[in-house]
Amino acid sequence: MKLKITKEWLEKRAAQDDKAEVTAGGTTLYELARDANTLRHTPFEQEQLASAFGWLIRSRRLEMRVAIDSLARRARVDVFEIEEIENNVHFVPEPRVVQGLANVLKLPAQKLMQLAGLMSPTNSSFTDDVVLFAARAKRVDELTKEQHDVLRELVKYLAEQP
Amino acid sequence: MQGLMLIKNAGVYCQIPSQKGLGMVYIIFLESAPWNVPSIVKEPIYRHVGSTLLAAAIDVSEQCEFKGRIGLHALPQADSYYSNRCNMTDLGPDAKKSNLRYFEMTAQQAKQFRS
Repeated sequence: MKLKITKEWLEKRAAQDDKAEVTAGGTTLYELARDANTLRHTPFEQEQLASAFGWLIRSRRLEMRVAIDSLARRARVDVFEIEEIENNVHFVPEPRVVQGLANVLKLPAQKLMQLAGLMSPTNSSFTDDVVLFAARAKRVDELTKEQHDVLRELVKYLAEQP
Repeated sequence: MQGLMLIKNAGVYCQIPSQKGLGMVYIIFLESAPWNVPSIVKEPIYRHVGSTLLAAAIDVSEQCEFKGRIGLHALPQADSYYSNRCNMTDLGPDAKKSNLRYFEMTAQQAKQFRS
């Protein structure tokens, strides 16, 4: 593609535009990234990633004995958003929500972003590995030893990812 | 990276009555990097990144034989820029795009902008 933008034209526009803010798009950058990432996974993989993400948040919260409303307050997010993350595999949280939860639950934020479908995985086997974790994860009201082991393994796995 | 633009040059058509149905370039997304936005930083590293990207979209439109026709949904802070500085045609809020105003540039308006 050949651009015809000249120095003279730029100088002319610069004089006219002053401090004009030029921005466009019926979508945000985060939505674009999310949509692009969505295309990288099959619907099954997306559900498995979201399921693992929701399970991880819930299990880590139970492990740390933090109630939803307390977590919401500390992470500065809505209770509704945590409930959706934990229970709805089709819910896509905003990055600030994931960052807030990562801070309070002491989990790697970037890996949580990948689980939440907000960033593309840096490891090609990440999705497959998480699907295996998701298969072993069961929703419980109190962590059993088995589920605690899965949680430990998943947290360790995430921490070791590049 | 100092700015980012995503465009679509196939399957998008003009809405202005005088050029309705003709091909154009649609700007899906256009944004300057935060460090180049005067409302965010006092001293931007680069100025007029957005205008330059807009000109690039017009160039692409011309190369696609769309004669510079482009369309976009403006974010509210840029409405006056597209309307007053670029003289684009304002087709009003679009309910399908969060009520962002849809602007379109005719071949003549593109010629003026690039002159």
